[in-house]
Amino acid sequence: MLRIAVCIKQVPAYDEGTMDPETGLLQRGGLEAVMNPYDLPAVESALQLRERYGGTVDVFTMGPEKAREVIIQAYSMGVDNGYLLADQAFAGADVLATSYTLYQGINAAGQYDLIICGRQTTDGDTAQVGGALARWQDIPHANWITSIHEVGKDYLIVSQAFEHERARIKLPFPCLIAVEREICTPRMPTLTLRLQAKKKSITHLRVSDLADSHKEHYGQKGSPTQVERIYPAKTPGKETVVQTDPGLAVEEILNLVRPRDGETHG
Amino acid sequence: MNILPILPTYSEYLSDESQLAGNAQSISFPADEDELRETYLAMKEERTPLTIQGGRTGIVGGAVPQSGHVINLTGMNRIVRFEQTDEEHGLLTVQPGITLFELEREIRRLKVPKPLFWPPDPTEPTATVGGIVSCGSKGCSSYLYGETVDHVEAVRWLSSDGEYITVQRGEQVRVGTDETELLELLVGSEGIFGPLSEITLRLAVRPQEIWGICFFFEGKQDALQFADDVNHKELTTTGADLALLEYIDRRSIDLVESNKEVMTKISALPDISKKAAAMIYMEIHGWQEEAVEEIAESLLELGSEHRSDPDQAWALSGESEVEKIRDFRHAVPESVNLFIQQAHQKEPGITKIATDMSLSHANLTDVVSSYEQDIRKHNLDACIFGHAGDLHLHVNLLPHSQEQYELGRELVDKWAQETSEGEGCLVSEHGAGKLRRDMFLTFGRHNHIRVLKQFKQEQDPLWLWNQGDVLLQESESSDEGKEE
Repeated sequence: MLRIAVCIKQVPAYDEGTMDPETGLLQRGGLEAVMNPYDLPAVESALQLRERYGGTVDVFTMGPEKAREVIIQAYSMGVDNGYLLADQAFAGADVLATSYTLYQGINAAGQYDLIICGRQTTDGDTAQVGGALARWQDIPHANWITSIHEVGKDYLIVSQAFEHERARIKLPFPCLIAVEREICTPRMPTLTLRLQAKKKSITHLRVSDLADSHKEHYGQKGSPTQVERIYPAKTPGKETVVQTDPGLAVEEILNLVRPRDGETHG
Repeated sequence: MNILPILPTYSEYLSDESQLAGNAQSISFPADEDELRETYLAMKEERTPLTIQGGRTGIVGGAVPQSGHVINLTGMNRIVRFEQTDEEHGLLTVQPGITLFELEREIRRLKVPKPLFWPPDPTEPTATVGGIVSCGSKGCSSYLYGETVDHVEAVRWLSSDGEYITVQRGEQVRVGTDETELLELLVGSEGIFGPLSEITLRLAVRPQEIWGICFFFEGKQDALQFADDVNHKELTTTGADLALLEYIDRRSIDLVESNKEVMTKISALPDISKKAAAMIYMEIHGWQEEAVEEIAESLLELGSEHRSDPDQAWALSGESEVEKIRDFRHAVPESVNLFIQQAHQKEPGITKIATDMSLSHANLTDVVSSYEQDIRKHNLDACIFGHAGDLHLHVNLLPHSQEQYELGRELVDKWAQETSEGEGCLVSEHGAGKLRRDMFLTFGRHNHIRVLKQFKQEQDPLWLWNQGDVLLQESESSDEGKEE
């Protein structure tokens, strides 16, 4: 019976339409928040392991009170327990403080055989929290996991993707893996679970609930780095699919990309 | 004014999503009203026909020129002004070339006490507001929000003498012996009376809670009867309404799944079980989560009664999450367009053949059964999807040969006749354009066609605008249309 913890985060569902056109700064006010897309395969991987080997899947998120929404989403996918690390003291955390808070929160909840993180978040983009959390836990970890092959009594065999090759590695429990999006297709929340989700309890953890209750170790005070500016990359508006013979396709694509007099490009 | 000759690099402007091939001698991209008027007057001087274009996302060839000059309005894509009328409503005036995607972005940037939105939601984000208003395209949520014209307050219209006329809601116009509202005549007129240079949209307060729910059915009849039951029950509570009720058949699902690799927006969605014979997609819009949940509970019970497993039903909340299912829904017509594009490459005579008809006195089960019976009888390939709530289905024939294409066209004519006899609507939101013009003229309501013709004659006596769309100049005979 595996005990699995999954770290998830609520992030803004932003695109270029939610940026200040003059300053280029992200306009967070009124932005809808969603579960970090990289965390969805992490939750799905955990659920698949539970379905195959039994056990429990718990999720942990650090954020404001509103972040409980992602726990409700995780419940709608089938997660067993949710832990919300919400405290004013946690605000403004960098990688170090975030990973420390998660470490404290996970330990407050109990012992886990496996911790799964998404590759990165779409707002921080560091891809370092998983590794840092493993360091605090003092357990082995592996990033860029593209598949889970086998789970034994006290080990896990996974594929790890490097730039040009893949490694098949064995990790002893307890351990942490950070999964790639390609590892699996996340399931959709179901209606039955979605309706039950709001009735399920969420454990709210504050600084005072943690083994280390020194506020200066968390949030902005516990963060050696400061973020100056965050902005999303510009994305193209319309995708055009050209499906024809290669010779004809080249000409069609050239016609699409060539600038033309008088034409406005958005 | 910059009149450009049609060079090979502009060839894409001679067609649209319908795959109908057109012809023109020149093109322009006016940036403002002055350029639009100058171009029009110059063409009028030479009696050159003009075809108005927006995003060219139409599927009836309305923006495909037959000859003459193309006026592409995508350069007129600015916000003109915004007026907050009360805490929950506003009037946003835009130029016609703004796309739905851009409009949504601009509306989100408005500094208003409560977030607003424009209710019509055609699925193609690159469609322009000018095109949407011209065709009366309303999208899936018309089940709750109604017709596009209800969400337009005013338009600025280039008249035949080159003057801009502001048309406000409520203004009446006499056409022959008929008195009619001018705004209602212009919205949905497909540009045959001239272009709109500004459109004032009625914005409403955006629902705080949006849920998207998909039920899957192993039996198609279960899906159809479920939709009929949902429709008859009028699921509404204080604080929430059912906003959308869509039917998607298995062939549509298969088309989408076969294109998943090239459609990045849906590539991350799980595959739909092969056992599913059909799916029903619904959205609940509301202001109180409890009210939304109340409707969702009712749907869950109803779904179970019709043998859909609620443990397999998708349920997403929040606009961004719901967008995932909307992307799937949008991928259906996109996949059909890809199919037609490929068929067109093999058989250049093949263009899109689909219905846009809605019925008022029937139920979904009977309507779909009737369509399927005809499709089987002619041994044709087709997919059926669309707005189950108002029996407005898009039956898309998928011809594999020219012969099948011709059979498909005959079938659509047959359905048009039956729809007309059943007091249904032949052209609900895609327009008649060129591809459905003959069907519209043959089976459409005589009074309506007569009003359109008379107004066309009065407002565009040289028949310069959008030649070949909706009406035919030479076919003035009184035997057209259906007598009322």
